[in-house]
Amino acid sequence: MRKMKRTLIWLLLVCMAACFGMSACTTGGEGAGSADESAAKASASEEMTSAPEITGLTFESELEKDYAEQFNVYRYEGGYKYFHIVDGDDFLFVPEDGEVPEDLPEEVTVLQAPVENIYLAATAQMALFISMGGEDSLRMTSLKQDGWTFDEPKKLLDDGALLFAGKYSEPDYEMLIDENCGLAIESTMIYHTPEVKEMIEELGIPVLVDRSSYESNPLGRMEWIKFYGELIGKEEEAKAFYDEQKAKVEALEDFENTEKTVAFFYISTDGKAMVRRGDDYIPAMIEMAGARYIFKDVDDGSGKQTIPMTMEAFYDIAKDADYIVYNASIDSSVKTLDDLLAKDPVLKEMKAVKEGNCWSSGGAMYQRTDIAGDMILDFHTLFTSDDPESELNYITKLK
Amino acid sequence: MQNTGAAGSFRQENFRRRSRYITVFAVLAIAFCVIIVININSGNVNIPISRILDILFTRDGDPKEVDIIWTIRLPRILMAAMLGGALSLSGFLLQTFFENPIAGPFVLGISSGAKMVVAFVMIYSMSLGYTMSSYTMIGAAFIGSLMSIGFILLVARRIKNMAALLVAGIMIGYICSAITDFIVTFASDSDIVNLHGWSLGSFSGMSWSNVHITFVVVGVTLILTFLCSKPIGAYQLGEAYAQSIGVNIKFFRIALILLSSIFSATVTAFAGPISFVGIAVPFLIKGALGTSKPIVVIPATFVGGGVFCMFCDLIARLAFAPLELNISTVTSIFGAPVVIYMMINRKRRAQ
Repeated sequence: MRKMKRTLIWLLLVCMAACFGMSACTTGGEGAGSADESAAKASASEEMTSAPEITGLTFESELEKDYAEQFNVYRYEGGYKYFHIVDGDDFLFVPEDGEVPEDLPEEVTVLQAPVENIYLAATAQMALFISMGGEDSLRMTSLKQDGWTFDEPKKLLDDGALLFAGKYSEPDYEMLIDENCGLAIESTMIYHTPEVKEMIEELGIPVLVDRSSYESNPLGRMEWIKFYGELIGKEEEAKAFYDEQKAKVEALEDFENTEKTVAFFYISTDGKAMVRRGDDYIPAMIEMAGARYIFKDVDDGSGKQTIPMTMEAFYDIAKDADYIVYNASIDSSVKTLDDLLAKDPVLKEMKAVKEGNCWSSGGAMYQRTDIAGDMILDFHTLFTSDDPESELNYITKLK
Repeated sequence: MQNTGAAGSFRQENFRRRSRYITVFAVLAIAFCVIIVININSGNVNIPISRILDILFTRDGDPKEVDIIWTIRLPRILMAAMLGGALSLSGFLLQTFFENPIAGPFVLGISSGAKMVVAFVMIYSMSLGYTMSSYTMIGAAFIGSLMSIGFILLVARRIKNMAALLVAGIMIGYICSAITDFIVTFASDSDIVNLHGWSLGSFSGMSWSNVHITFVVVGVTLILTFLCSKPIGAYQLGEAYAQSIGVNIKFFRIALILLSSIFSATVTAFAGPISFVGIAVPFLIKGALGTSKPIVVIPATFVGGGVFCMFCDLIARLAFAPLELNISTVTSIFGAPVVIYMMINRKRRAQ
């Protein structure tokens, strides 16, 4: 009797483990599926040099790009548009009275016009929407009023035109439904919380993961304004704004580099110097502005955009940098020179500190994707003007 | 005459005890129903009760409201109920095993093991550009928990001393935490932030497939636990007594650890580590029932845990809506005072 009871208990335990294992395998085959999907997307993105053939649609034109490499937009007759994001998802924009083409691949998400009541969790894109007059398409955001570093979104939140719908990792799903969210635009942070993306999609809301942070050129990052312009019907406004910013930067094309060196970094709470990788957009801005990024050759092979360095390694490279520009968009605690020097005693020995060339970039460096041109001009002023302090808009001197 | 008096007194005592049990179960059942109703009725969107009932019974209504009730609120409520019950029972089983009322479900390093593997998978997969699914995270947490369980079972076979086993469990937790810290060294800031968020626990984003799997796993483990009521009851009276009535102590100890660990591993896998539920709820239930008899404590603890977790989740959801608190924040606020009271009470009784 006892033996039978024991056998029964073991059988139940094995069944339960098998049940769990099978469920994990079948539904978590999404995990394996994701690997296959990623591979398919990777190969698809490598091959996406021409417009995809879609049954019933005639290709018309491709969105012209100058610097952006992470997306393509193909236009078809009748107002249809195909949006391809490199290593991301594909979307087919269907006009208001249009029908979804038959045989559309499953992995292509349909965006039925009008695309409105957008939940914007990729906060760096807010500036782009505002710059092209597209804020009417937005309804919710993942950042509260005090998280914004510029006035326009604060005002929209204050007026009630924009609502705070919870952080990207824990959005208020009920609000998304209640506000008839037509699209959720997420940053790549959403990949850390896959259950959130899955839940939003389960609610029938398409999710678009913005990959502008993977652009190595700051103008490429800003060129995403054209992508979103195509999405919400603000193509002309987006192009006009982009062209204006581009013109500001292209005016510096023939400028001879000053060969001055810049150390752009912040110091983390555990005492490491965090520098941008050499092919990142901020070093590109510095180069365009007429100076040299001193950490250009630093790469730890991790593939990450931000590289941690020991203070020793940092000092070894940056000791003689002509300028220090502290990344206050990440660490806003540094407001004065004393705040900077308090981070580590070795900073006092740096040339830039001794010569009084310590500066700080504000939160705009991350959130103001739209004014890349103006920021590059600010850097240019910093490197070339005799009295830059009075002329700068986005960089402040540490005194 | 004396025998009749003693029998009468026994019957009275029995009647009082059963009445107390019935009262507690009735209160728990009512609380369970009330908290479910409040949870279904509460959220950012105001839906009248009449429409909620329509949606629940006929699934008819405004598609938006149907989605809110069926896709968002119900799975979350059911998961909070089942996982709360599972965590409480896990705590009860370990408290029985260690004969220590403040032994919690994560004292054997289960949440640390889960966090270690989740950290590894999260950081490693992101660096390879691999897109994780939610079940990848759940699977990772479960594997991590099972690894800790495996170590504990190995140790339990060799160590007879309870205190030593507890120390071994704590050490396993420390080792897993150290490995996690090592992995985090190579992580980006965004990985660290998300790992921290995961480690505080949340019932947000639960789906019906989560509910189905949890129902099976927790359901089967609950049945097995209930089947062990008699040997648990005997064990509470001492190992020698349990052995004398035929309980295989070696097998029983392993079964107890395994059942407790499966409960806590399931909770950790789906909702992340949730603190204080496993310690506070069994104590409250035993106090209410006035007994430690497993045959009544097990079902009552399960229901009580469900009520407690649903209540805490309601607060987590609504206190600062649309911002959500992590569930551990709320369970700590309510659970920690209970544990402190328990320790003070224990000291007073010892004195």
